[in-house]
Amino acid sequence: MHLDSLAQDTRRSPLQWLGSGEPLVWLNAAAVAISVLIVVGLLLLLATRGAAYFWPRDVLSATLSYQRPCYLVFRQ
Amino acid sequence: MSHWFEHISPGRPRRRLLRDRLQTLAISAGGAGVLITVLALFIYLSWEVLPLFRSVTVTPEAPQQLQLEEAEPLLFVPPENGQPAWIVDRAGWLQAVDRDSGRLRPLHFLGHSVALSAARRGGLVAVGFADGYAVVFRAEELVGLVDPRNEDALEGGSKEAPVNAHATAAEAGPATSPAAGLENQAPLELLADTKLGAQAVEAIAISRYRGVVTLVGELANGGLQARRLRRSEFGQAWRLESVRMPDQLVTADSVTVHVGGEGRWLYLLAADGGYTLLDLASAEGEAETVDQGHLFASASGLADSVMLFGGFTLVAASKHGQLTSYLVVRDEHGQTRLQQVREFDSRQLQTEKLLAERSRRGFFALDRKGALQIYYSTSSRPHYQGTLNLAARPDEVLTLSTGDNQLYSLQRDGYLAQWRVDNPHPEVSWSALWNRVWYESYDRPARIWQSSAVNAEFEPKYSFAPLTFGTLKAAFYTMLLAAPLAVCGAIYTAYFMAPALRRKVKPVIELMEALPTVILGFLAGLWLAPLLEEHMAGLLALFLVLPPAVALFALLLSRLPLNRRLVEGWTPILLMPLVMLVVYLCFAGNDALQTAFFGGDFRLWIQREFGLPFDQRNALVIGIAMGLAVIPSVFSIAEDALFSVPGHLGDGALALGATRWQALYSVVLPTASPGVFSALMIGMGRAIGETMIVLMATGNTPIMDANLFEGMRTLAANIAVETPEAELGSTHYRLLILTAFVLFMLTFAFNTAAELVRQRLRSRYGAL
Repeated sequence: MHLDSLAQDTRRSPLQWLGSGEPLVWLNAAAVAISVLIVVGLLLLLATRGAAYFWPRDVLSATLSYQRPCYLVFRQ
Repeated sequence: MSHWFEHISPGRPRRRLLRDRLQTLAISAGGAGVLITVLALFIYLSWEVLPLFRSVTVTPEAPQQLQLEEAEPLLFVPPENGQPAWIVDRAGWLQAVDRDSGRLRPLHFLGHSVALSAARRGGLVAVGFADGYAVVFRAEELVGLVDPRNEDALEGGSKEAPVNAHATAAEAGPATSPAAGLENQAPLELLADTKLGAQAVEAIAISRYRGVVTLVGELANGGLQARRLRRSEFGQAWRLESVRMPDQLVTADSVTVHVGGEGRWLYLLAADGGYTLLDLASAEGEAETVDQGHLFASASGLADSVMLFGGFTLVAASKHGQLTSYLVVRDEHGQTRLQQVREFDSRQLQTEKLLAERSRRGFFALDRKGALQIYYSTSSRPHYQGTLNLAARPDEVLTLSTGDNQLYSLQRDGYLAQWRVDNPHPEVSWSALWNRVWYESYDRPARIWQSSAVNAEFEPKYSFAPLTFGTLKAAFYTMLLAAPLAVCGAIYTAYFMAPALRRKVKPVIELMEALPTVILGFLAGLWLAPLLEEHMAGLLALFLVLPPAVALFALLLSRLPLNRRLVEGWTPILLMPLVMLVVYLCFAGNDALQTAFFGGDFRLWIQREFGLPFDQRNALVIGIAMGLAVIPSVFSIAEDALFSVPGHLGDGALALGATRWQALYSVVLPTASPGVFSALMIGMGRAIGETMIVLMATGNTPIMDANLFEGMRTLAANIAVETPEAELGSTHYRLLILTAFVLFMLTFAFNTAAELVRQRLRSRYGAL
């Protein structure tokens, strides 16, 4: 934007940096990030949960090992 | 060179004027339409609610003269469902009253004569006789007997026969009367015809609960007899068993007996105001005296007493004009006692006679001179105060119709006075709607919303307090989450963000507004609530860890020699991976955190450490889900307000040496504060009125508890849940509309307050 922070310097001490209010700006940015992530995440969640029905999943998958005797019984 | 107006046709200004007028008209009509709609809504709600507060009226109706002959009425049952009225007379006859002539027509002889006492409750009639017998029959069975369709068959014999039969029966006395002149007596099945003792049955009481009938008679010698009637498993026969009474129990001369509390409690009230409470269902199989004492603190005598509908609340009037109600409660020591729950405002009425309503918990109090006051068990003030045009007399028989809208007084001489009682909504009073009320079967007064239940004798509990509390609780937790996120997001987007990014981000967040709330509610109830229940520790960690993590990340980046122009304005993009990482870590580490801090299970931990119950559908879920619905509107309005602050204000602050946060905090934010504030208030209004999310994800239990981990029921959800079930025009229906009114007033108050604050803020910072 039209703002160009003036007194920003890598040489400032962390305490000065804290006092300048810069972390609060970052927290505000985090609020935007969270809001956007929520919207996108919600849409993705709905899309994946809904669209999953178009790709039939395995009803049952089993891994058999032949070292021991093993019985599989299917019943309706 | 020509002037521009030379090219304009002469008709144009007129057309322009016309268009201008039309537009003005259309806009005014739109504005007026909005106002009229709001006003119409207001008027409609008031119209539906108003009957709740209409005053009670008692209007006399044309009296009737009954030809009682020598019959002395003991019990009068008013005409119902097109059936004629009938009486139980002292000679032991049931007689129908002819509607037009007022003449009596004998229906049935009860088998004994000189009836002394009668009680009618739950469709049953019990009559006690001078020979020590008591008879119980069902009133509805008699309805079949007095059916006018049977009249022809009965009168087919001879017209004078019934009168004769009655006369002979009365003269012949108990020994011969059953056999005399009963050719055309209709059959009546008696539930019981039992000898209670050798003495006359002076007082009788009956109660019916789940097919078990309890009958209590007080004999002339002071003895007390109780019987239980059950239907045997096979066939239709009623089985009679007697309840053993304590041996030492001898009652005073004149006592009143009441049975109540599902046939369990027996109340003996003496004329001097003393009472004895007996438990008929004690473990020993013998009735047990549970409590004894005096009804009135002033030790005054008892004028009259009555058991209210449902059989739990006892109302007693003292000889000094006190009017109090009692319940059997278990106190903190586990002791059962008769507890005075309400002292009614008797307004100096010297109550002589009490009369309980037949289908509600109201009662009528009359004095000797015919003054009448109508009360309801949940409010102390009388709903009605007036005078009947008839003095109360000891031998009159007072009765109410089943719908409690007709009052009858049958005098000894057959004069039947009638009044129409218009009291459709006695349950509603300001104090019962908002204050604590001591309801039946509760051990302390409480504010409860419980509008209906399966059984007809249920006591409706209408308190708006839990609903209003639930609404404010849901809105509070919603704003707790939504306000910081939305306002902070708006601040960054409007003031710090790169314009290119702002053009993308704003529509994305506003997209959430388009998401139907039913989807949010569905997700919150079915996906979020179980997820959060399992991951409470992770969520708490997220709230604690995320802000420091962001600050630390910012500090690290500020140490790095980066191109500031590239970073500034684009920080949300940089932060997104960080936020995702922190969320993932918190939720992945949930089990470890749970084990480390909460002994493995957060639910159990919070219950054990703080005694707070944990529901899956709680205020936290609502805060998050409804927060999502509220964020876009708050964000959008607040962002607009902040963005429209003139750029030179902030630039001036920066030029004077302020950091960009200082410029924002001390110059830009105050200037935009009216807009930000109204954004918050619009969000609050939305949170109060929101229905679908709270309906689907709160559990809808109307409790009053600020606990974050418990649900609530809001006014809006309550309307949505109960309106489809409410009977049109009933108290419940009108009360639901009243809750809508309360909701309307709540949002109205919030919006008005917000507007006032906004105006002040604007006048304060408008000069900038």
